[in-house]
Order: sequence, then structure tokens, then C-alpha cells
Amino acid sequence: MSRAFRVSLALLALAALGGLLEGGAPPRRVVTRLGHRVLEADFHVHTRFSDGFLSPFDVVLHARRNGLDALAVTEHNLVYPAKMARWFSRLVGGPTVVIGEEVTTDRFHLIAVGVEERVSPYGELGTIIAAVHRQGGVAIAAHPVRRFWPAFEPAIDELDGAEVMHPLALTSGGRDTRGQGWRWEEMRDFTLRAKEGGHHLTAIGSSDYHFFNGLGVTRTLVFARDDSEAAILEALRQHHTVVRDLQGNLYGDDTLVAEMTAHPITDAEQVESGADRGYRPRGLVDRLTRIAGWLGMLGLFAFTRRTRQETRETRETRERD
Amino acid sequence: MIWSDDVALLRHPFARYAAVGAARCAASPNGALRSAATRVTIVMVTLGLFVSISTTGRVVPAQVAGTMIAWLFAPLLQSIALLVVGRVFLNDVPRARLFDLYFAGHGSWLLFMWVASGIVVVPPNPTAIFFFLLAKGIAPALFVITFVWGIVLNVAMFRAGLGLSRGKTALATALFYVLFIGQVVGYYLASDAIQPQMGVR
Repeated sequence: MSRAFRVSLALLALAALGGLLEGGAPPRRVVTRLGHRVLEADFHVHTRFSDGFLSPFDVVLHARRNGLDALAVTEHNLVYPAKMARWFSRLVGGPTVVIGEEVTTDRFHLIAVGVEERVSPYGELGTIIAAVHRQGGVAIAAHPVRRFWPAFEPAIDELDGAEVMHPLALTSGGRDTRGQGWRWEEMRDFTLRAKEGGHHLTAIGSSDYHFFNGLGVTRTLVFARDDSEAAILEALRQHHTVVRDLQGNLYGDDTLVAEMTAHPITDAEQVESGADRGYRPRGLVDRLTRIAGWLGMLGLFAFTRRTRQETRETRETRERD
Repeated sequence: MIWSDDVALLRHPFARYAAVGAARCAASPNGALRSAATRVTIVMVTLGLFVSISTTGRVVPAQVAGTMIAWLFAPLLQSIALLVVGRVFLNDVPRARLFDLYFAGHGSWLLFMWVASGIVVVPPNPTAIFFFLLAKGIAPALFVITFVWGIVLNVAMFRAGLGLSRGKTALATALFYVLFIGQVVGYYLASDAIQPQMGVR
């Protein structure tokens, strides 16, 4: 084995050691308000089985690492990856996994949380929401930007909740970033208009996680009696959630919003939102082992694995033949 | 020479594939198989490192291993497509040699993953850099360049590494991508992920 390749392997070993030491999950504490357990949850997560990067198992580990108490794996028109995640999370004592599905069509995207069987994406929204409710699930309008309003508005009384916070907020700033009517302000306005019209929608903050570190970057505070699936679904049905936007505005149940304004949850209580924590080195050693991993990665494929002698012998053999 | 075949092929695809192809002719079937297995392993470890670093900022061994398993479908689907192409156009070429040459040509993707990982490790605010690259179209452009570069490497493999004529090289490359991408699209069709978004009711 060539010297350069051996150095690359050594750098990777060093980085792996750093990853073992620093890559663990932060400890979680139980936080309570008004007699409820406050859970940090992300109800919109994708895996490798549709258009995400991570396996259902890795999503569970990453959720734990990013300080989530609960998550719903919501693949496009599929539920079995969510079941894989729940099985694995129970095995390793990870966050509560609620089975979900992102019912995806050209007219709307709907998050079905708490379903056990796949909900067919074919049919009108009202029919689909009814199918979610028959399974005891909760129906949430996924990123309800203006282009989806014609589908959502007629069914607003059947909807249980709507995403009011989404990573679009990190990028849009009033701009239409995709050029197709995808603005966070439109999502927020959907919930605000519904409230003005007397429709009570559970406020949901989701990361719509596909890849990189953003799992839980925008999240929901769920006020539940405990961290079981049933308690979380019950809390969602009762609108017991609070979501915070980038400006610090709170959305959700009025009593809970007042409580969170009066007694906000501090970092010391291990509840933190919007953190880029995975990319923030914890110290010099962490920073160095990260760079070692990146350089080792280059050496792994860029440097020849053969020594000069092996290369010469191969060439001689070829010329002889 | 310090550089691996992956890098050398990136710099001079046709000339280098001719040399690697000739070397593989001289190698024993077991040697070619070992070499192919090593190349697949390098690709998968690099992919694992990319996902781990881009997800956590670190090399987390469990994440690397998990990704290697979760993404095994990719080389598997490529191998199926390659086997069919080999059956149609290269029936006399040992399969081990075919795999060895094919998996030597992943340099553009390996480089792409390394550069993307660097965005997470090097600058102080990776998220801002990422959104900037996305908004300016730089990230999508890099992806397209990588994809096209990968096609060029495949063309070089069929033409210079395996000695196919120009016409057969074009057909073999086209068939490979139709089969590979077709399998992926087939999965999404089977899982109902595409039709409802196309307006099928």
C-alpha cells in the first residue's frame, strides 16, 4: 500500500475517533409547562426510500443527535419506511416515531400523521382527509403556499393543522425562491387567514427534511401528557402546539403561546430551535478531526493504492505479456 | 505516480482508459474481481463519508456504515445495467474486467462529493454558503457538469478501454443510462410517487 494512501487511512481513522467522541446525541431533559410535557417534534421527514439521503435508521439517529423528542417519517405516498424507523427507534431507545405519509399530488401535499396503512393519493382532498381520520390520524396541510390554496380552502374545516413554519423561511425573505409560488410568507398567511375566518388549525413547524443537517431546523413544540404516540396525536388534535418563526413570533394555541411568552424555554432546559449545531465544531479537537476526515476522504480516492514497486511490477508484467 | 486511476481518468479519460483496459487484459480474473471489489468499496466508503460529513459535519462511523448499506442499491442497479450492456455488446469480455473498468470511472462523482463535503467543513457558515450556491445556480451547474463528466468517462470506457466502435459506444452508453435511470424511475412509479404529481387521478 502506498504511503499517501496509508496517510489518508490514518486521517480517516483519526476523524472516525473524533466522530465517536463528539458525534453523540446531546442529553435530553424533561421539560414541562402548564402540566404538559413539552416535546420538540418534526412531523415532515423524508428518507432514502423517496427523495432523501438517509435511511430510516439513520434518520432516527440524526433526530436524536439534533435534539428531537419525536418525529414523523412522511414519505411521498408510502408508509413502510416510517414503520422501519419506528421499529429501529424502539430498538435503540430513540425518539418517538409516529407513522406518517406525505400524500403528494399536483394540487396539494398533505401530511398524514398517525396512520398505519398507506393513504391513497388518488381522489379529492376531502376524501383523502376522511381516509386519514378513519385510521385515527391527523391531517396537516404541507407547506400550504398560495398555489395549493384552491385545494385546501374548500376543505379547511376537515383539516386538523397546517405547517406555519418551514425551511422556506430561511431562504425566501419575501422572494419567490423557486419561481413557482413557493414563499414562506404564503404558508404563514394561510394559517393566519384561517384563524381570522374562525378555523382553528394546529400550528406545525416542520423541516421537510431531505438531506444535510436540517432535520428539526424548524420544529413544533408539542404539549402532551407524555411522549407516547397516542399522547402526541391527542395533543395535535387538541391544537396543543406552539411554533416559533425566525423573528421570534409565536403561533399556536393562545394559552400556550401566552405561557411560552411569559416563561420561554431556555437553552439550559435542552430545548433549542433553529440551531446549525451539527456544523458547529465543539472545540479545536473537533475542528481538526473534521478537517482530517475531509482530507482523508480526498486521499481515499485520489491517491494510488499501489506502491511504486507494485506499479513497476504490473507494468513489467504487461509489457512481457 | 501518486494519483489513482480515478483521478488519472478524470484528467485524460480516453488515453488513461486505454492503458487501464490493457492492464486489465493482462490481469487474472481473480485480480480483476479483487480490483473491482476494491473500487466499489472505495466508492461506497466515499459516499458514506460524504453523507456523514454533510449530515453531521463529522465522520460518524455508524452513519458511514449505515449509508454504505442504504445506498448499496446504487452500485447494484449500475451492475444490472452493465451486465445487460455487456451481454448485448461485449459478450467476449470477462464480467470482472467490465466491472473493474466501470467502477474506475466514478471519479467525477467522488470529486463532487468531496467538494460538497468541503462546504460543510471549511467555511464558518456552511448553510449560508449552501443557499448561496443553490440560489446562484452554481450547485445545480456543478451537478450537471459532474453528470456529463460521468457520461464522458463511460464513453471513454466503452471506446478506449473496451475497444467498441464509435456507433456501438454510443449505443452501449445510451442503453446503460436508459437501463440504470429506468430502474430508478420504475421504483418511483411502482411506489406511486410520480403519477399523482403528474395529474393522474
